Amino acid sequence: MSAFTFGFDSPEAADPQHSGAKVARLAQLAASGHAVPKGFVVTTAAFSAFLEESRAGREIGEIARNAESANSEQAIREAAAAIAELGANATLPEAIAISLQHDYAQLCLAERRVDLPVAVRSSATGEDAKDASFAGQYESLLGMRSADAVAQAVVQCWLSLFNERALLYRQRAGISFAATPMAVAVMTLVEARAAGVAFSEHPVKRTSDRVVIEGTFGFGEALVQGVVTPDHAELDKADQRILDYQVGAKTTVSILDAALGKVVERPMPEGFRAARALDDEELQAIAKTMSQLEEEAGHAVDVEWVLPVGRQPGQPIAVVQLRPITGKPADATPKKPAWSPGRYASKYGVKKRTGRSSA
Amino acid sequence: MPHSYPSRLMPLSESEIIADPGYPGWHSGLAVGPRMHTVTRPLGRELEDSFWILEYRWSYGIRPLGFTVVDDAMNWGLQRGAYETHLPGSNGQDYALAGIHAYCRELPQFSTLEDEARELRLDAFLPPFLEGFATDWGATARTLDARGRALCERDLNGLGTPELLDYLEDARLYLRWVWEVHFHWMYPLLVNYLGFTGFCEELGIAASEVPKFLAGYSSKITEGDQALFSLAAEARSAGLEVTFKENEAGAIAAALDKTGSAGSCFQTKLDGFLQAWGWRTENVGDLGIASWREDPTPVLGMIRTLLAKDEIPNVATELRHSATARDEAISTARSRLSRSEQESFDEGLQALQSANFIWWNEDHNHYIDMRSTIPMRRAALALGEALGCAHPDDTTFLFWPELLAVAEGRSKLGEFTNLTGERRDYFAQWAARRGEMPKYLGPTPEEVTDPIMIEMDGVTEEFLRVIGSNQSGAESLTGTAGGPGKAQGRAKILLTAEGIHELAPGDVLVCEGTSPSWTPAFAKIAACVCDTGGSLSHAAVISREYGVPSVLGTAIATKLIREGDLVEVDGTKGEVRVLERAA
Repeated sequence: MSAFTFGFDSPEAADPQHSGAKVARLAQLAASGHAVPKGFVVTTAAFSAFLEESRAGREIGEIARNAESANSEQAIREAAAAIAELGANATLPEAIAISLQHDYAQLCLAERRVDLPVAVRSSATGEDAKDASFAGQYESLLGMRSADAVAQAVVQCWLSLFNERALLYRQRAGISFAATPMAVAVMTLVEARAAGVAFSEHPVKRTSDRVVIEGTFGFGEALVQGVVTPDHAELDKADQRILDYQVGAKTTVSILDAALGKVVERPMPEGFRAARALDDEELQAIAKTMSQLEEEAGHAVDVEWVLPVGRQPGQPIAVVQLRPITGKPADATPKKPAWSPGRYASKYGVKKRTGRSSA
Repeated sequence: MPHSYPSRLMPLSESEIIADPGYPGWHSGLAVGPRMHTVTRPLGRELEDSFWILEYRWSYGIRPLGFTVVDDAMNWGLQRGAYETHLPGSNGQDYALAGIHAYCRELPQFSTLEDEARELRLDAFLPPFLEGFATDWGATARTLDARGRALCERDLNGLGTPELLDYLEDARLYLRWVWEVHFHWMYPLLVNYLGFTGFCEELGIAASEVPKFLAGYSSKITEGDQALFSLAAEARSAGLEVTFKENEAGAIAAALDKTGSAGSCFQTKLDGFLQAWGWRTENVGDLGIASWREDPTPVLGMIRTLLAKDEIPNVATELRHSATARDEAISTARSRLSRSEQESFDEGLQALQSANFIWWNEDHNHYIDMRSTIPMRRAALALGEALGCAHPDDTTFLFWPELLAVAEGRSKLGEFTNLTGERRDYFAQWAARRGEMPKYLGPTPEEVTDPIMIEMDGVTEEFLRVIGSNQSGAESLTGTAGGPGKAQGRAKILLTAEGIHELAPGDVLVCEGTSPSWTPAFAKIAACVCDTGGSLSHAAVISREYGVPSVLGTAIATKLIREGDLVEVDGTKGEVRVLERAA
């Protein structure tokens, strides 16, 4: 093992400095026994080596630094365009490529599959931090099934650190790319029968007694990107009773296109659009996992989950991403509804004049 | 007076109403109160200041002596209830007259500081009030019944003027007291109910579910219904069905006399029923209306309607059904709540069930609304006889201070002979113009704040928006969803409950609003549309009970829909469409 890659099961992978926040959390979850896909991380050291040792990397770094010091939106837009052009032909430095080939081969062997399809997901440091969620801004690529395809995907993830949105976001937040080096996760692709997100407390009301689950058929990409209206369920955190299930109008589905080697969006087949994506056992399995994850984390969490193809009742669900719930409102205490005749009578039983102050 | 609308009436102009000086001989010295904020008076120029709504409950008009009822019930009783409840945002309602027709407006209060103070007071006042409800209302109801019965049943035969004067004063004290009691209970129970409804909505439970949680409890009204149903069953088993079928309500009593022993046996049962339930009037707070004891025609009419059905309903069975529906609705609502939400919901529901507004809103009608004016009417009629009036009800054409003066011998009845005649003419003229009375006067506001106006009378923001915009050419209406379901039929537009015998089965009843005297109509209509009425109005409650789709608080249904139009009523969505105009 070189410093350029670590298996998820190595202690170094749990260190966000090497692996980025996302991988570090996944590694911690794996260590505490949760069902997490097998995989390895291309470390922040590999990213730094790319920027320092390859010609393309050096040029990209220089353009980005200039754009940051220029401090104008126009400069950033031009820099992003220039970096994208350079990136199209960029390749991995050889030492990293060798390390990656080795780890991919090991992963195939561990899964006992010759052309194991994998997901390649960015895991930036600073991303996913409690106060500044930058969810979904960086690249994730799915369905790569050779070391060369994985290598290209890793470069794509790195480059997503320099896309226009990311550059603008960091400029506003006053963070340099140098402070947020990018790690990349390469993990066994979990073929999704259904996928989605879950919250261990209500993300809007901030009430802590419900687990909120949103899910759809196929991969979670369409849901995460907001191009499909998912099914919405709410369960009692205490006893996993299903309190609400709203079927979404699911017109789009993310599926793996084997020929392209990518996850693509397709129209949802007619019969699936108004069908329930999740059954009761699946909902309860997700809710139970959410309670455990929240307890282990010590705070409310937001998770991306996958129900693997072929999962049987009682088998675990796969957690592919975990974050703390961010954007806590000013009133940080989760509201538990408490009955009070006077308060509610004043709130709803009477109407106060609007649009006029005292007269 | 007409009880249907003649087609295309031009409404009376505001200037005619402003110019009206009130009853002949009216002067402000006759407005003796009691006074909270306002007293009953002719509208005059005041109509230009505020938004006034025609009171559909008093569709027959207010007689001079009836000013006492408007004062005691509304300008005193209701305003006092709002004050005692520490109601933020509103000081209740104010009543004044255009001719003989009552209009009401809200009495807003604008100070935000005062609102904050009232909120604090309401918060302190409400919990002990609600906790004491079961005990306190039970005791109050017993007192209401004892005092009401004693007055209603006091034998006035052969009493002299001094004794009748005492009785009149007792009747007035009783009238005022029952309306004080009425709003002392109604406001707190209503705002608590609305608070709980809002609480339920926060928990994701639809507001329309809440009345179901409170249904299926026996009240004085359901007890009275059962007694009536039993009486109808007696008539059927005695073979009197034909007598009821072949005669109009008013002719049934005479027809029964000709049916021999079956008829006289039934008359005895009817007397028994009237002993127990007959101290009741068809219209609320109307001195012009006889009690069932005085004239049992409405009872015979209702039995006639019941006998037209194959099966006479049974209150116990119906209550069991609504109790089952109640338990199901509660269990469905609870199943969608988390454990901790269930705890709060259960706490609120239990409080609401023990201080049950929906139940109280029926129960109190028996003790208060349907009875309040009977002693006053008896006193006035008996005094009329004792004083030797040409018509016993001449006394109802005197204002309270005038009647007192006559009864105390300070004035001679002869002084008023011409005046009562002129006042009768004035009453008749204005009664004939009921259909021309504008339903709304003055500038339309964006909102009102009194919860009784909003929830009982249906003066919602949407209602006010409809009034404020010109909808005269529209073919559809929206309003508060009352009874769920969808139905269509020919529109029958009625002004007073007297016209309900004109309704054919399958008609769509279109009216200003309904009160208990309209209830028999719900047994035959396909649907109901009202200008007024909120989710808790009589029409809403009764149409849910009878499974009749209804849309309420449409503001302009009686104006927009014409007699004979084919209309579709969607009582689930609160929509009414005119499908085909009458030829």
